[in-house]
Amino acid sequence: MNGHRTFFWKSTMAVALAVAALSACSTLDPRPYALEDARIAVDNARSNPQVTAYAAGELNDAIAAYQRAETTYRAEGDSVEVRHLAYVARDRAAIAQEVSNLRRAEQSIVNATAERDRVRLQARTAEAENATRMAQLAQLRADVTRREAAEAERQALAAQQQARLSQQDALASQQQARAAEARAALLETELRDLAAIKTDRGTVVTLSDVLFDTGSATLRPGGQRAVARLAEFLREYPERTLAIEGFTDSVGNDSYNQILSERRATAVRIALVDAGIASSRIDVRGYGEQYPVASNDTPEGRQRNRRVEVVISDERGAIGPRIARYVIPVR
Amino acid sequence: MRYANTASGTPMRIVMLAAAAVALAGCATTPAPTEQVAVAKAAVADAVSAGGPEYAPGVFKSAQDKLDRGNAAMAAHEYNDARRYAEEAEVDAKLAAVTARSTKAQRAVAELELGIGALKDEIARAAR
Repeated sequence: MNGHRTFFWKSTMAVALAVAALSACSTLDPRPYALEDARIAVDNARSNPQVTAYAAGELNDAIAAYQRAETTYRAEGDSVEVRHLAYVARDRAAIAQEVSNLRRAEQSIVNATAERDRVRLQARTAEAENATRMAQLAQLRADVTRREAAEAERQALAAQQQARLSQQDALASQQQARAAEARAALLETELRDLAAIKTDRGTVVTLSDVLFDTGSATLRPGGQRAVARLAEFLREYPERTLAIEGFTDSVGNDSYNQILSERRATAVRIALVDAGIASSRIDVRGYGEQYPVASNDTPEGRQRNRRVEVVISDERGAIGPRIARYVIPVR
Repeated sequence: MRYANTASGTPMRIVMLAAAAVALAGCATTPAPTEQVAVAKAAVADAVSAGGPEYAPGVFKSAQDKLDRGNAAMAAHEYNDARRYAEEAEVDAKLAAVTARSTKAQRAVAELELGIGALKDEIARAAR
């Protein structure tokens, strides 16, 4: 009985000792805070997409560390080792978070560096463009200044030229005036050479009987010369027109004299047209024995009456009407 | 009475002692964590070079303290404690180092972005 009791006591002691020995390593407390902290930290890391993207290896380490802590806790309950493993797991979760931050920042540095280089290039380009623009502006200003100077010079030259032209104009007007005077003088001379007489109707040139063959309308060389001079004069003064009028003496019948006077006037016209004068400028009339300029009683008077008168118009081409200038003296 | 029980008690006593010895051996016969302490030491050195004392002073101090305690535990032949201190020193040091590096990198990003902004402003001004 006593021996049996002793054995029971001894057995109890042995179990107690074994439990005490084991309890040095583990106790069955409620789930420790450290393990819970680690679980939360690892879960946070795991649910962070940046951690899974940038720090997958570190995240796996944290998960593994947490599983070790959890396994140990399940086997032993709370212990220094479980708390230690939980601490390591929580640190590893923090490391995973921080590594993902680091790698993301490094990625940003790469991108930002590229961006900075791009922008820097852009800045340099803008600077260069700006410089070019400034140079162009300066060039433009220089051009404008130069153009203005050139314009001023050109205007000065133009003014000089204008002055010279005015002077020349003045000279030219003087010259024209002189030329007009000279021409008037020349006309005078030429008309004098043609033995012209100024009358109310215009200037009259008389081609006398001796310039024609007797009883004929053929011009003698002297008459031809006179016609040539007349043609020359008409060419010189294109505004003037002619009235060519033929006359005879009173010898012979009227119709003969009429025809002869017309033919002689026409002969002069033909000669002038041959010399290049437009026929439209020349009017021809035969007056027969009308409008004698002298008495038909004497041979000299009759010879003077046998004539062709060329009336030269004024500068407007007008010729006045014929009026008798000679009154046959009544004896 | 004690002697009377000697014959039947002796094997039981041997069993009890053996059980106790086995139970204690589970905790006590741990090899010295020399390698782990070396790893922790290297991690702390890396944290220093990464700027841990400046950028993550709390965690870095924890690492340093645990390394010191680990060394002390090694000297006292308390190898389990030494291993735990060394392991915790290692992860603390790693956290301090990576925190320092990440802080510096994020600061660099901010500076770069500031510089880019300034350049863009310059361009905008030059364009006007």
